[in-house]
Amino acid sequence: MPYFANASNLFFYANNNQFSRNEEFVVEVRLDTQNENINAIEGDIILLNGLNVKSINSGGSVINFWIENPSVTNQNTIHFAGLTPGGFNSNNNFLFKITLFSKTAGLKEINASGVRVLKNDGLGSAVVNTTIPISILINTKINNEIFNFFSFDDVIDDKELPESFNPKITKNPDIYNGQNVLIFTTQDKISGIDHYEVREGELGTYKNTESPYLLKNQDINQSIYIKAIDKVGNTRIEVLRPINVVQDVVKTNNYFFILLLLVIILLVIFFRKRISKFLKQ
Amino acid sequence: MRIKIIIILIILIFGTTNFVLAVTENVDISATVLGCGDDTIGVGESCDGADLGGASCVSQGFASGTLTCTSLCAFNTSSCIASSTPAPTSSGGGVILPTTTGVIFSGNTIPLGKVYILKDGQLISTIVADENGNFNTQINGISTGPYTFSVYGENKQKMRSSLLSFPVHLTNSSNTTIDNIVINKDSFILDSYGFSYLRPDINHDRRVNFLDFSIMRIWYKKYAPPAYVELNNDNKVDLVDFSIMGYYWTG
Repeated sequence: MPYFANASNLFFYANNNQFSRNEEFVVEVRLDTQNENINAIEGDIILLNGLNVKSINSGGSVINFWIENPSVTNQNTIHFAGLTPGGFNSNNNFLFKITLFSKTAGLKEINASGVRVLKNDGLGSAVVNTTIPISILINTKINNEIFNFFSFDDVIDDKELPESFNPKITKNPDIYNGQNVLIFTTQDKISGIDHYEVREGELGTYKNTESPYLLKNQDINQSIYIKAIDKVGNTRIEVLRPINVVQDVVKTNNYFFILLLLVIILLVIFFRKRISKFLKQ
Repeated sequence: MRIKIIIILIILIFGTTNFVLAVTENVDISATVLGCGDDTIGVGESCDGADLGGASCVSQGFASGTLTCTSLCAFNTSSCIASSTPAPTSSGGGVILPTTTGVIFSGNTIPLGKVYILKDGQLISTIVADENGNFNTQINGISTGPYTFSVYGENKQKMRSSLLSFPVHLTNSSNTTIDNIVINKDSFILDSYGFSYLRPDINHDRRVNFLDFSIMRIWYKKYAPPAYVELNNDNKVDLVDFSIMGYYWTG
């Protein structure tokens, strides 16, 4: 690939350039940073001439945190945005892969638009990105076994749980009016994270959710269970015990002392005659 | 009359006591006593009080559980669950034992400099270099696969270096070594506790990490974000703000 200063190349990789009608095949989206240290990228992948998306998998991506998970935004567009703190720099960075198929024969093209690639320089300076599209020929023949012997990439052998993670509770005046929210994230290096579920308390039920999650139990006096489930169903469960949560000790103590004070005042008023008699002795 | 005096006295006593207690709990003690028990990881300490340096049961080679710190500033793994106990899974009923491996980090920085190690942007260990600036540590319990490990240093003046990144593909064959990491004294240019970089610390916990990322993400492409979540004063939260946050990341 030619070298351009202050530039990057978004490109696609497939193990073949010919497939059959209705046959599933995988195309990987990759980035050559051309010796720049890159920490943020966003863009749209455009699928032309009748390509259909079966699934998207970001397991093993160079991106650490997805601002927007790669997902289909309309019939032929996949949008994505992600961040890798500290950046990355190599000529073959895997971003995510798309499993595709086509019901019609002919030449199909995969391209990208609106791609922004930013340097890890503290300013978010942009580099000039060039996208190298890929063309895929879909044959009318139904089962082209000779050409597509290795093309069944969508079968994922994933026996690993999602990564262990460390959920946290925080509050911010501009998120849910300053109420306690649960924040969590993890990765799955093989098949990718499918979704998260959260359960509050021993008797609660798991609910599909995403981070940040508004806690229903704002007192945070029960255990919170957070499930991360990958694309093949492997599940990692992390538990946040009440002891892990920083309570507002000062506020609690103030309430306690105010209550104690009121009780003592009431006792003094109630037993005022006896106290007066005792003091006169 | 005497009763009224007694009530007033009680109020005064409790009011004063309450006030004193409240103030006591809010005081930030700026002076620190060096050594174990100062809640800051020092030389020869694996942890100190609540400061586990990003370590967890998993990083210590266990499957899960709660890691704590002993009074001698060593890890207490008594509440960790051993690797031989499979974590729950719902993938078809079979027991899945995670394949894990270890990574050894070694290098040189300023004498007694603090070194932070991140895995895919999340803090997993904090160590202190020796008198010659050498540091060496091993992180266990990491699943196989591709990772970006990052390392940065911090000096006594709380100035820190920018992140050094090491993309590595871990296999289960043996431990991986990342050595010859050099954080020289000229790289400590970022102000950890001043105002030059604290803007990405959106929740003001003196860290720039996933909590700040999560808050910023809520305002991504939204109309009229609060001024403190957008970092380049263009009245919008977009990819540039995230890129700035990524540069100042502490994990």
